[in-house]
Amino acid sequence: MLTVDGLTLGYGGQPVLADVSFTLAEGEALALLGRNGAGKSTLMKALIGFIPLATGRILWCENDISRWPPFRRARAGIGYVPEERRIFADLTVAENLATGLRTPDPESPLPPWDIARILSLFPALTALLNQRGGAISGGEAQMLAISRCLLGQPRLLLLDEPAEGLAPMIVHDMIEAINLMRAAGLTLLLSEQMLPVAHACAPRALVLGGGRVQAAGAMEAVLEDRALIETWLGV
Amino acid sequence: MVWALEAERITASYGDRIILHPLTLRLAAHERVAVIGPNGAGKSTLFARLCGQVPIAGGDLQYFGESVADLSPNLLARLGVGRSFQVPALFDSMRVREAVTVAARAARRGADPEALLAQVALADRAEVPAQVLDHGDRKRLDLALALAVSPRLLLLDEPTAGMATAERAALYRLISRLAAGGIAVLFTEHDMDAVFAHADRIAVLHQGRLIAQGAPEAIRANPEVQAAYLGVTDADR
Amino acid sequence: MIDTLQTLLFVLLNGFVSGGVLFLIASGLTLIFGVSRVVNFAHGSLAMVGAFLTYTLLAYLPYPLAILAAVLSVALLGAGIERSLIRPLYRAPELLQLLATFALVLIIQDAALAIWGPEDLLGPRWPSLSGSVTLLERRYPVYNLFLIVAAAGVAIGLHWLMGRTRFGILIRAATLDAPMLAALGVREDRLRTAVFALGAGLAGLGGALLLPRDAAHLGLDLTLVVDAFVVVVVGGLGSVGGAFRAALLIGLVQSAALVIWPKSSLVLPFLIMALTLWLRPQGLGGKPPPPPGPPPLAERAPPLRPWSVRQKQALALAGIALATAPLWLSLLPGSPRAYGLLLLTEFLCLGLFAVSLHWLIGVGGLVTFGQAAFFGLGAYALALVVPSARAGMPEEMALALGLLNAVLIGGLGGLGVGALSLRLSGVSLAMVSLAVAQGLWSLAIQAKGLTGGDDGLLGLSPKGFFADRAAFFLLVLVLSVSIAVFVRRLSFAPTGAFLRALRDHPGRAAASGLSLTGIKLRAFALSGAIAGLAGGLTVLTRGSAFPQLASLGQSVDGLVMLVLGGQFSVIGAFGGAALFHALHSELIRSTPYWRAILGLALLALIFARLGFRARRPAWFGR
Repeated sequence: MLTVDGLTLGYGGQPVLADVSFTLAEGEALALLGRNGAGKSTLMKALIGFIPLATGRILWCENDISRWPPFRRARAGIGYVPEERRIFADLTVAENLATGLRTPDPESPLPPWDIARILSLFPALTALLNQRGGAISGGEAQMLAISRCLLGQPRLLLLDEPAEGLAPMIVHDMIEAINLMRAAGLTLLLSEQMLPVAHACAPRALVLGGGRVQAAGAMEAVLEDRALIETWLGV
Repeated sequence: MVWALEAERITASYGDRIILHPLTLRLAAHERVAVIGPNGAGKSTLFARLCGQVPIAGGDLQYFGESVADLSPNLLARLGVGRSFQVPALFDSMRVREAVTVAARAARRGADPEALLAQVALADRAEVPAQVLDHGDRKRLDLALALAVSPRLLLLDEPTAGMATAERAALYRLISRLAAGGIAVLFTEHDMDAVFAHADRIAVLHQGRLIAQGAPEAIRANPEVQAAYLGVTDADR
Repeated sequence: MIDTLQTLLFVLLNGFVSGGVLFLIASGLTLIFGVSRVVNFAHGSLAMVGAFLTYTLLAYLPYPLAILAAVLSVALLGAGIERSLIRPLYRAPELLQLLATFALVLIIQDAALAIWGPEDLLGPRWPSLSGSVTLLERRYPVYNLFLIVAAAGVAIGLHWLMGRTRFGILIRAATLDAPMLAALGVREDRLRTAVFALGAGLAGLGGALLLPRDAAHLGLDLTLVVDAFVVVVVGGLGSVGGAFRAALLIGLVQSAALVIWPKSSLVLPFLIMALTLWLRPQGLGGKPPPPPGPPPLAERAPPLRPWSVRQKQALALAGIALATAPLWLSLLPGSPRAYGLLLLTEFLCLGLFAVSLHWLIGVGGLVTFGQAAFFGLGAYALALVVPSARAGMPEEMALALGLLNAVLIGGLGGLGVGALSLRLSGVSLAMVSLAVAQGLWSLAIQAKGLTGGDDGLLGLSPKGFFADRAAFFLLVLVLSVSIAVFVRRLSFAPTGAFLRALRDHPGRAAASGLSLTGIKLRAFALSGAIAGLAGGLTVLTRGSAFPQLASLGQSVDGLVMLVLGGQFSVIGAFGGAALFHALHSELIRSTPYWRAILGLALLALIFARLGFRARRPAWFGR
């Protein structure tokens, strides 16, 4: 469904990602692993269209979307949950949800998301609907960011560090929610620094380091490669 | 003794959300201390407070025994605090030599521009306008501008971000020489190899808390740090 | 004094009326700014068009329908303007954005002149709303009460729209983080067009509602937009709620002042603005500004380099040609000497004015739209001193004293505006400086006892030695050349270098130990002093002082010169002045629609510059 082919880009003339390629089939989940600064977030931003590519292509359902503006990619079914969550701080939680709302495509194979279904996925949001977006905790903000995105009826979800900065209890809930979304048929690309979280969410891994793909394959194999972890992931 | 930097239970919050829990950190002359932590741990918040960009809300911050909790950045510079920026902050319309000279004059502390240029290996580019420098040179010029205040304390925010490996090593050699000369250096860095090779002490931030502080070996072995970075807990091992 | 219940009631009612009108105009401006980050100078022009259109439509339709049709037309016009003109400007430097929308002011102004003519068009009475009611034994116009109700209705409607509809939620979200909204699938570009149309429609409504009470006339555009600027700055840029509170505050204070001390009502809005900026620079409803991050996306200034030998030779030649002008002008056929010298002297004065702007905008990156304030201050400082000084001392001394006073008062004005805008930059600085200049301009018109108002002050041509045009021309030449050289040298000296450092990166300048406030104050003082001198010399050249010298037109003339010649060098300032003066004096003679032509030329120039920039390859990130 998604094919990234030879993607290269940089800020201010300095390459950040070089020659990144991978594919993602419908319903699959892939975890991007790598340290801070490895280029995971940059890759996510390039996929939603915030950063232009220097070279390479992004194919989505057989269309070359490399030059599409972000709104068009979102409407085509790519949902982006940024690392900083980017909740609209002055809007209430309910209003934040409304910004993402889009009527479901009747031809979509996936069941549509509505507020009721969102609240059953994240019951904690129910009590918060009238709170200001800027006043909720990090974990709540993460749930809200994902929910806001789901209401746009995406088929692919780009989750940038979904467990970052969350308390261990909440991380557990988050993993559960991610697996529920997968079970509902969503395709997932998530970036993660915490290996157990990645392990619990995705069977495939892609290791980024120094702006390049250092390894790719089954999660188990990657996690067993001590040398790989030492060089590209560990402290 | 008088610490170069002494942060005593400083805090930061945004609205009713706490971003930094009371944090105590000290730094002596000659010392190189790295502040590390996952994204969103509060590093940039801490850094903005230390540079005087955002006033300190709670706790006390002293440089060289003077309280600087409500000093603006320009007064910090006159006190001998030099800082670098993650995205190089240069005087883009100026040539390299001119930029360094202006910065040195501005600080009224008289660093020698030529010596600075030699230090950061930009002497042969002195007449190039800053706006056409490549990234590595921009990072080095940014450091030279930080050094132009003749600092006793250097605050470096990702000083080698985006640099090539060889450049990075050279820059850390320079930082080590500066520390040996008596400057206290506090830096953030995402390259863990660099951190463990070049820091005398490492402070680890996680979720707005200082979860560990100590020598590199101790930090590497610290299970809490491992957990923060990889999510690995003892049970997983 | 407000000592009876009756007075209190009428103070309140009048306050609500003027506050309501202010809100009608300002709400659209702040709404557009919130979503697009563009300050639309032509907002007052849209209101003016609303008033004129209603006037025309009233020939065919009853009042309510005429107003509705006018509002919809202005909204449509706004959408068209956004699509064609504003859209390419979103990434442009602020100076160019502001100038482009000002070009629109000029064009609309002349279009209105062509369609509706120069006369004031008094609207017919609105039959069902004319007459008055008796309140506490005093008569009060029904239409004023209607205005209060209408403004309240609009405020409530906007409140509902922003809080209860998806469109409103999207507007607020776009104000906070437009790229994220795009990533959620919202068509940001369409949202911007819609908001622009909404804002324009509100402006049109404000203009249309003025018609039954006041006349539609060509001066409405600038009066209204300046009022709106003050409200928007006090309320906080982009905040509709803040604009509401600010409009009410200003309206009530003004209405109270009219009873207590009528003379103060003109300057009161500006005092409120000054006070707000002092206590709360972000305005009533604004957020505290983010800490100084990377510099704004301004045009990068080129390196300052010493003049080459060839440039020096060319400059010397130009200097010789100018200095010998009295000789060669009299050799030309048709004896154009007197007129030629007048034109050249005027050019030098304009050049000096452009140099003062070059220092602030080119060297300091401080975009001001109120430079005419200093020009006018200098002009009147000289005009008020010379006549009395002439009585007691030789003419030359009196002139020197007058010019000195012009420099001094201009410099003090600079200090004042500098102090007012210490914590401002970008568009807020431009808006505040403009508002202050407009305040001074209307003061010059109203303070008839001092300035003679629109009749001006006359009899100010130099007598004695400098009565000779050539002698005076040479005096101006010597003064302007030495000041230009001084400014040029100062740019290289620490004073100028620190100012350039501030322009290039405020954050780094502060981290290097520079006090940004001190640098800004000095820059404004010097710029004000030079502009003041230019104003004083202009008065001597023309022999008279008129309020126009302090008008917005004068400020914009200076900006056009700077854009024409290039803002980064003194040569550019004089070159732009020469080009502008030549074009301008030709244009005014050849057509009554010179404003529109100037506006079109300005737009062409701006888009040419943007096109040139767009071709440069660049990486960009968020």
